Amino acid sequence: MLGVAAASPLLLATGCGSSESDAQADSDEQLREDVAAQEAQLIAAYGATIAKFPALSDRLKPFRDQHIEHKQRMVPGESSTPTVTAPTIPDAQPAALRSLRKAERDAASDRVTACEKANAAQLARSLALIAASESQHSTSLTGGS
Amino acid sequence: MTEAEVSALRAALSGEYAATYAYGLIGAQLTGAEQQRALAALDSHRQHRDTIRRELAAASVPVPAPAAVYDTGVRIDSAPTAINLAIEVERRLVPQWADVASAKTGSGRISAVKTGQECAVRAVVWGGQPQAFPG
Repeated sequence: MLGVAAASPLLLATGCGSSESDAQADSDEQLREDVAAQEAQLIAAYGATIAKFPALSDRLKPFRDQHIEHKQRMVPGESSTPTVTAPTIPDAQPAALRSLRKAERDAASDRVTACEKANAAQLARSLALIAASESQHSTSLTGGS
Repeated sequence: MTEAEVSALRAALSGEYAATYAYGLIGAQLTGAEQQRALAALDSHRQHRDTIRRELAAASVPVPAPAAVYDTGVRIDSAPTAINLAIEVERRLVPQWADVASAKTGSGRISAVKTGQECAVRAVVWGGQPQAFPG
């Protein structure tokens, strides 16, 4: 009797803890997918800008490649051929660069929010680094446009 | 305060100590706008250093003291060596702040991520290339 009485709260507690950690893992998985989708958008924006202004290729490819690394970190192994529609690229080069700069600034800010939502410490760490990288991009695009 | 948080804060504090030491050397080699930028960075790192010290003290965790001297790797005797050191110091702090962010939750985490962004941006303003995972 004593054994049963002692065991049941323990089972309840275990059950509760487990579903909570399942929910946290699901939420992290969703977060990874959301960020990967946003990275795919950025990759597509860089791709379309480079296609429209080939002279910017040397300058912009490193940024695009870093977003590919970000996406891989979020969803490892997934192919880098996402089904996203590239945004419309402005006709003037300075406007196209401004548009990328704004996308980077928004991304850097969105990653801070995503980081705050992460449950797993490793995911939070990755998002903090991606947030830092994207603020570097936005700053770097500010010069010499 | 969790063990992970204490350990991340101590590591970030050692990085901030190193940064305040380094910017003393860096500022001495620069002039004009670059020197002003170094002084502004020094001021920011001092503030982060003091914030961590207060935070550890408030949690009754022993606050490590700075080293008397930090090894800068190369002699800092010119503007280019000073600027390279600034880039290096800022970059190294980014993963340390990411560790603080991952050990914290809520507003403490947001503030740590933003501090990492500040350091990452300063590395680029000093002429460093952006990195996918700065550090």
